[in-house]
Amino acid sequence: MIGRRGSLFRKYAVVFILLVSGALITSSLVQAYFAVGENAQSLVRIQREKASAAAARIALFVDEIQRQVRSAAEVLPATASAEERRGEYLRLLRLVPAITEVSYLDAAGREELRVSRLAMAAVGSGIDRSREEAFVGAQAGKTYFGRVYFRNESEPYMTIAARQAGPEGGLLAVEVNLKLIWDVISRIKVGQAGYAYVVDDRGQLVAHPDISLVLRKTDLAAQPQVRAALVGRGDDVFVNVNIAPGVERGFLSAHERTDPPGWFVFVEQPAEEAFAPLLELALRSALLLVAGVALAVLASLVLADRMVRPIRVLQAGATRIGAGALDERIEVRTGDELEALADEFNQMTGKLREYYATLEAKVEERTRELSEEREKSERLLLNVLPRTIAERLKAGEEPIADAFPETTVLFADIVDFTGISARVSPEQMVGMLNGVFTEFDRLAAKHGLEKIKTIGDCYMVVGGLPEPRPDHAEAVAEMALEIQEALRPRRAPTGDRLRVRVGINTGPAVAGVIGTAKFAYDLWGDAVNTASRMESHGLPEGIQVTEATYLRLKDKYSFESRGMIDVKGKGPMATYLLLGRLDGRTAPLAAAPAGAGRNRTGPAG
Amino acid sequence: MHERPVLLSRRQFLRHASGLGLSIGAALALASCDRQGLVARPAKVPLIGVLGNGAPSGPRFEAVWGVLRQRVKELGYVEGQDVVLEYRGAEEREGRYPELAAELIRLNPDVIVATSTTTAVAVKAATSTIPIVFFGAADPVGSGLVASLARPGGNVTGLSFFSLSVAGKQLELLKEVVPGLRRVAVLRYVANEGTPPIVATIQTAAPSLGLELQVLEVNEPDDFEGALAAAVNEGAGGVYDLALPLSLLQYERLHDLLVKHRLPTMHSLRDYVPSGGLMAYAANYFDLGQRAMSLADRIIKGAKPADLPVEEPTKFDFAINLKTAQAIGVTIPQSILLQATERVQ
Repeated sequence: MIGRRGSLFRKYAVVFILLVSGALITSSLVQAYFAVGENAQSLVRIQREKASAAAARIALFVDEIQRQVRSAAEVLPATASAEERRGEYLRLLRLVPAITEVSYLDAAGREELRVSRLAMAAVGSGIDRSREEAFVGAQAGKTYFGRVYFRNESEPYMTIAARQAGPEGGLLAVEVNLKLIWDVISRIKVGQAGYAYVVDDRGQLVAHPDISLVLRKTDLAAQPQVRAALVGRGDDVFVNVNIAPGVERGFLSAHERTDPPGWFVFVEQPAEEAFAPLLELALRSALLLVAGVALAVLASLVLADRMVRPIRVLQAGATRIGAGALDERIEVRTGDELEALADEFNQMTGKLREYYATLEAKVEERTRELSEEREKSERLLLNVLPRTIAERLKAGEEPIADAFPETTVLFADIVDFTGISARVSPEQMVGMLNGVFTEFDRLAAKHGLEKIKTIGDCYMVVGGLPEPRPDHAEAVAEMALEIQEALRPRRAPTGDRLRVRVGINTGPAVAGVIGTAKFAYDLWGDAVNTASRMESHGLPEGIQVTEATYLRLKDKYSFESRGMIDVKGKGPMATYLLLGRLDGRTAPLAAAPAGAGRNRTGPAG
Repeated sequence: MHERPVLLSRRQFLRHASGLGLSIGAALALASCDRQGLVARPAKVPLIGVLGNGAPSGPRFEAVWGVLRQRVKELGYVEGQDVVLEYRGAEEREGRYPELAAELIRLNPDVIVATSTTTAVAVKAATSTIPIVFFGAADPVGSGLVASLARPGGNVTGLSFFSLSVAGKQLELLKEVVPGLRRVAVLRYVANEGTPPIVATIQTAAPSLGLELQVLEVNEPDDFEGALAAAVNEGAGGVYDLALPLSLLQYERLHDLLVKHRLPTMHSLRDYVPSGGLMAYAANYFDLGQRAMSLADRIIKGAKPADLPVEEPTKFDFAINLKTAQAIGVTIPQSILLQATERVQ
């Protein structure tokens, strides 16, 4: 359950996280891609600007010398004396520390004067220098820049020359010690670890902050960035510079040509330094991305939780409703489909509740009807059977046959019923019988006796059944007395008096229900037959009992012995006639039936 | 600056991007290096031996010594903590150099700085492994200190005091100051091994200037008196001072003698001039000393002397003491004053 519940949240969370983080990462990467590109460009641009600035400073250095040389060449005419020239050239040496030597060649290329910082002056040496490159290459009005050369294979020098105008014009040539560019180049700062350097048009190192490299005549033509510059590709080169033996590092290199004298000024910076801002940018972007993703994950989790929560409420509510809690209301206030769903649920629950209530009422009604029906049939059954027997039958007991050691059985029969019934209509007869027997039934119920059946005009009732009772004989005796009393005022439709014979016997019997159709509670046994005989051998309006009954009642009722009578199927039996109660509550039978050998018995007798 | 495409191509971008990766790696490597550096500081403090001519307490070498120590400080060292300097000076006795060199080498220094040709030769004779940086040597190739200026090759490098050709220039300047000069006395300190090539150079140059030279050898300051008297007797009109470093030790005495004999003199160090010397055309010795310490620093940090070219001086001081000129009775011509970089009134 928890697993299932968790899985929806997980699904939502995963989808949101993937969606939001994915979008974030993608946009960050795209942004980073362009930002890195732009920054790389601007860093490269900055590097180019540094190269331009450095080149400008080198150009300034060269230009200053050039200017001084031109002015020195032009200030004196070709006809100036050697002494004038010497003074002027000494001034030039003084003005420009980089110039080591100044020579003046006449129009034919012969050396007229040479003044040096390092050596003795040469005056009028007449050396033919007309084949020197400076003399050949220098043109009027234009400064000549020679190639870089190395004195003693170590010190870098360059010839700068200016030709005087006119056919007589000579040539002023100066040797410039390029080592002095060091003052310029070493002051150019390129970040912390970067530097600038100068190579000539052959890739020969001219100036470098590490003067040792220059003095060693370092040839950088093989360096890729220098090669690229020499062949005229104006591209920035990002290369491994192998400037010191065994030391190779990534450098961001930019260069600018300075012409004259046709040199390349390089500005190089270790890649890690040059691109440090880029690295910083990347780190910052990565940090922002991480923070953004973390935020996105958090937001996704919250969102997923908020989405899942009403669903969980729904689920929990549905579970409770499913368990029968129909009063449950699902409270979802999201203002969306989920709330609508919850409302649907609540409506459904309401309907269910309604249906449930109606159903209960109907069931109740049906149950009541059923119990009424049952009661009716019960009553019917109880008319036929005693309650306990009926219950036992209902419980499935069959056949029922209970032996009772002590019962008192009473038979009552209407005297001359055949004769009376012959004179009345059957309806009258039945009405008469019904009246008599209804009275008998009332009496039986009054005394708690069990009516067994009526057989024609004979009525059979028993005491001590189906629940044994100690006073069964007394109850039966009471009923017998009340029967006689009740019939005394009754007349048949013929006007004849209605008289009954009553016979009573006490003894064991078996009572029960046998058979399967039209069954009735019945009684069997010799005691029953004997009771029947007591009735049939009895007297009209008399109550004849056997000795067994007499012995039970003789202390409470008054009897009259009939002596021994011959009972059909039994032989002679001593019988008694019940006259009344000894306590006198009820008047004894007024007229004893006429019969032989009537002996009153009993204590009152 | 011509226009360049602003947009980077895809390849360029990739190149920069890979450079970025490379730089990240490099940064990490550097960072780890830094850490290692913190953990494993070199247990041994670098030792720089200095072999000089005089006593550290002498006025001249007190100055040089001070310059060297100042430079060490400028290079970022704290003396006694990051670096140790050991000075040995011959104290007027040139014969002690081999002994002093051996003494320094026993300390197993990282580099030995020699202040002159003589001292450099003495140290080089004693070790072929310990790096040697000289300054103030006149002809390092000729003296056999290095194979060539561009590629010294061995364990020695340094800064040449001057090119030999300058000697001719010096002689020329002396002649210019004293236009009628015919004979020049060369005061040469015998023990200074840097002098023979110089003497040879000026011997060659002298005829073209219409000069003849009289080489006077001195061994100690006491020789000055006799030598100068001899010069005057021989008719010398000027002196070319090659008595370094002997002349330094008692330069006042020398100046007095020169003035007394009215001998215009060309000295080999600018520092003679403020104290009374007439003139000097020379590279700045102190400046060379400072740069020698820079070379020593590079060697301590791993550079090989064989890879460090010997640099020749490019800037020369031309100092003139006008007071001395007056005392001697020399009129300094305008052309000289034009060339002078320093005039002592």
